[in-house]
Amino acid sequence: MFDKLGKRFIENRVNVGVADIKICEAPDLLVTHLGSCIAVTVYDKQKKKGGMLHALLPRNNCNSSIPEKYCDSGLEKLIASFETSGKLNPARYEVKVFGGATILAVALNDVGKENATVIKSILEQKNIRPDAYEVGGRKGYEVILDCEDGKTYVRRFGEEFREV
Amino acid sequence: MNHDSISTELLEVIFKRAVDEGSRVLSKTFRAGARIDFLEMKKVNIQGITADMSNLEGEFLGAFVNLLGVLPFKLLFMIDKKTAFLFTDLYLKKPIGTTVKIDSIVTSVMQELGNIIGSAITNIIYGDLNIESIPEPPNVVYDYAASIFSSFLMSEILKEDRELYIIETVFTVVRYKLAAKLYLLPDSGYLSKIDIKWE
Amino acid sequence: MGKKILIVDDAPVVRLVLRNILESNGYEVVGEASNGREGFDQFKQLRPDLVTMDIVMPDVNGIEALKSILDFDKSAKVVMVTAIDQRNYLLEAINAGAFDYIVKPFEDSRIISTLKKAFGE
Repeated sequence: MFDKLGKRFIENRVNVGVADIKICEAPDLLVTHLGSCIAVTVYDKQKKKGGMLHALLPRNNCNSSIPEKYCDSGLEKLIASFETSGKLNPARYEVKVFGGATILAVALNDVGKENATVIKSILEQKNIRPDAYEVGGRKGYEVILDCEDGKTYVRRFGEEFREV
Repeated sequence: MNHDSISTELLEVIFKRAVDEGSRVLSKTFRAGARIDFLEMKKVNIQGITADMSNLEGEFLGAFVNLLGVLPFKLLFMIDKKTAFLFTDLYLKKPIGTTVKIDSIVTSVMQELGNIIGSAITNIIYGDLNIESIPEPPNVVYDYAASIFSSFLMSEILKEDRELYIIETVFTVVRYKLAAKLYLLPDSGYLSKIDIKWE
Repeated sequence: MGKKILIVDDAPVVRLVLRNILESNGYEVVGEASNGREGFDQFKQLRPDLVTMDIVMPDVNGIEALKSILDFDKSAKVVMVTAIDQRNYLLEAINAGAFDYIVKPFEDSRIISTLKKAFGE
């Protein structure tokens, strides 16, 4: 357990599974674990509201009924949950990107890298500069977004938590 | 009764027998009473099951085995670090408590356990259904449980939009408390296509 | 010097266990290989008295390696040591010339009794 967050880590924890977006407010914590998947967090400092996308694949080329499964459609949906215009004022919003590792050294090897590339590309197109962009590597990630204050804690497997 | 429900019922019977065989070979491997209990075969929501997996704290090892043939599916044998040490000591007939860190021997024991369990399952499928069934060499990963599990589901999540069939089992080894699970993920494309020739 | 054995199995821990069994019974392990291709190469180089051969391995599997070895040397002694307990594989291996077919998990005594039989001991 992450001692710094105390019993909130149990009582206010909201896990974000694969192909999902969760939106929460203070004092909730959004938590996820990543392999090749990508997590994008958006935090609204004004409303103390946070959102986390956990996307599995790069592009939604099949008009899937689950946009959250894909980096491109998932990111659009996440951003629209905060601003229907699709524009996030950097003075008010923080956006962070994590994951895209390669933990299984066989089939679908590059999907982690492709996920990271697609997210980066879309953010650039939207003129959104992420406040953190930690991707790649050979080990999984654990990511926590604290909706109380927008702080994000990350650790790669085998390491300690860091505030990012 | 439609063909799909016949297939899944048949699958459940076959997998229960396969799990019994897995128990037998594990007991023989460890020279101790080991049991794999078939919990259930169920449809699961991808978001829900992967979110629940995030609650498993700590370090895990997962052996991924692709089971090839007429009825392809994937197997994930997942254990926590402490259980990996125990299994290594049992496999190598060393005093319990000898193994204290994850190294190439521990991951190799996982690899071989994945091979033995995967082979036991394919042996039953071949024996019962007279269809080709063979495991590939396992891959072993040391990581978070949720990261391991989402990698396991990856290929099926690509095809299915919401729900997957999954078979969940639980391990016990006599006298020892441990956390070990075996998941079987049938290929959804084949569930309704089985053509069994009964002799 | 004891009879020379080559161990072919993709799991290092299986090679370790087999090595311990063989060496403690007076046999000499002259080589190890982690797949069928390496196993065949090592056989040609080392010319062991007997090979233990897994079936499920990456690159080249044990059945293919068995056939390659016996094509190369009809008198070679190859014992399959595998978790695959299926009639089709058993028949294919024996028909191809394998000396025996041992199913994992094995008892130490099964390995030794098979080798003794192979060497007429």
